[in-house]
Amino acid sequence: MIRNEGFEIIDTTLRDGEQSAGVVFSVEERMNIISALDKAKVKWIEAGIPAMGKQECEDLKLMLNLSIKSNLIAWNRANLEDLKASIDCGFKFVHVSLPVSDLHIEHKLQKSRTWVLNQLKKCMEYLQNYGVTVIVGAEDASRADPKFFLQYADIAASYGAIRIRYSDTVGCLDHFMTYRKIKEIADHSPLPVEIHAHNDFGLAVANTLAAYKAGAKFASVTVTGLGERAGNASMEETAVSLKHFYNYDCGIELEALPSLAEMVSKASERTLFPYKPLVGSLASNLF
Amino acid sequence: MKKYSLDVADVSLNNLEKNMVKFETDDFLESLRCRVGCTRQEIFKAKELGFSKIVINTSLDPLVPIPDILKSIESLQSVLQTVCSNDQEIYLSIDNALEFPVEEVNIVDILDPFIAKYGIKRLILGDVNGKMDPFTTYNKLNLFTNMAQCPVEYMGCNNYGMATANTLSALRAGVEYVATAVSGIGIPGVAAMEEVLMAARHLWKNEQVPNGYTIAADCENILRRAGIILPGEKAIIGKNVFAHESGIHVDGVIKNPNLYEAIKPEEVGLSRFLVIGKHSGTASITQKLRQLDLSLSPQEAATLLDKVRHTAVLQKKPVTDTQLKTLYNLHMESIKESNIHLSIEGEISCD
Repeated sequence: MIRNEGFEIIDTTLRDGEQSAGVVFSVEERMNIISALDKAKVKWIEAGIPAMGKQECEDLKLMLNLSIKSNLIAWNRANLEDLKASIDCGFKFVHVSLPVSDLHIEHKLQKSRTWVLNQLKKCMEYLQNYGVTVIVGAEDASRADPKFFLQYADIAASYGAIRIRYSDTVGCLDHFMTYRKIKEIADHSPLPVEIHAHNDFGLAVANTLAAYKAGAKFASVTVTGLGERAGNASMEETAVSLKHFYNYDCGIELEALPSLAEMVSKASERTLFPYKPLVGSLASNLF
Repeated sequence: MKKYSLDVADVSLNNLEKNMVKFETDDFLESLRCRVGCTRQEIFKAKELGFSKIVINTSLDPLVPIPDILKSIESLQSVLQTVCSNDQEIYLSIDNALEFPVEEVNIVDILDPFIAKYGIKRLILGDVNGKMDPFTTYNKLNLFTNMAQCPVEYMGCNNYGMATANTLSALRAGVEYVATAVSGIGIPGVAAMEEVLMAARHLWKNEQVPNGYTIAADCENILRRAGIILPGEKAIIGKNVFAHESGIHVDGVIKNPNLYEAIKPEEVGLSRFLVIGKHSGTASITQKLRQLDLSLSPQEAATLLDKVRHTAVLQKKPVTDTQLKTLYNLHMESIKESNIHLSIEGEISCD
């Protein structure tokens, strides 16, 4: 097996994780989680959504003031108001997301593919004025036309985005499909591809590994797999599996993961299932 | 078992003895297999208890040279010789079969002569340490199923969280039987039955797979008897997997549930519900109020949303229906008597 060098992990516990129904982290908890992620050498942290309001922006500013090495990313819907909130907070890394499946474009946005491409251009042009680094998200990519995904990626690339996120928004892929789809896209995408997997069928980590094998360069994960519905790919299973199965060191300090899992479990008030791999009370320690 | 087309349920001799389980009738022994170690004593004990289906478990060291493997197989053979009779169905489980490097040691090939000789009903190939990834699992089992002289069963363990994916790989590779447990429980855990079944039914669109209309309640019922509390976020069967809070998702789900749900809640016997909290948007507030027979203009919804978020952050919890009603009433009053400043802090009752 040829290792996929340069594959990096992005943590989205504080964004997609907290978005899990019923979960609220306090500012202190978020600061502690960020510090712990930084200590564990997690390079990328999606910190939150500035568009959520004044208080949220104040909280996020506190996080931006932490002296850490990790890069903090602000997540945004693709509209100028939301982006302005991120710029005003002082974020240097900005994630901007639009759906790319016809299902989402028609039923959620009630717009067209052309509208989506134009909206991305508008956002990218706006962000160019502020010298921030942009990451582009493609929501519901797993149910989208891959040709449209690539068109969308081309625009993101032409404005200097550094990567494109491929979201399996509803977790409707298995690892075979993920491999095939990511391979097709990674071979033609002008930008490095980030896999963002959901766990609706219990396959988020397997799909993340499939994307690694297929040539994705990034994966977004959450500590304990906390996330909407059945959650996301868990950081601990992803990082340990990469090491164990492919002898690939993604840069994260594996020994730091059990205490991170405990910290997030407490803050999210979600007791870890005793049978949860790696971090459950009945699991064997494989870190 | 009938409902989900289950072939057989395993019990271990060890646990039966430890927990002093006694079967009052023999009626359902036919649906059970007794798992025993590879010793004459244990096998006879299982026979004594009335089991006609016996799984002989053995692990072989994949790191030793082939002659040593053959030696262990000889001792296995001597056990098989004395226990095999026509009254029993013998299943042979090599618990770590997947760990053998196929190019060097083809374990199925090595075991082949015994299959017919001792009438082994099925060969169980295990990955008891969960050491294989889903792609290696597929490749190995693809090879094994084509070679084996008897039906093959796969048992994947969840040490690294790969059990469900590996089990799907096994099915793809042509394995006829796979071992699972409700919610994947066990030490080490195995593949979650509900995930494997529903992935085959909904991701692979295999309509021969039984429906899951009551699977959430059925699984919970079994776990409850084992004293296990299922986490709300457990894939397929957790109570919260159809809970939506974030503004974008709720707005989407109201327009069309397919936007944010891979399957419908009724397909697994659960229901969808809205949670009002920090991540709510105006669409969720309006929808929730409508459910409570209350209404609000979009502009007012935005103001109320600020208060809802503030409350959720303060209490580190979602806002209950009662709290939302209180906030709503306060909001309506404040509109009426806009000269009176009302602080919502400390006036929220928790229920």
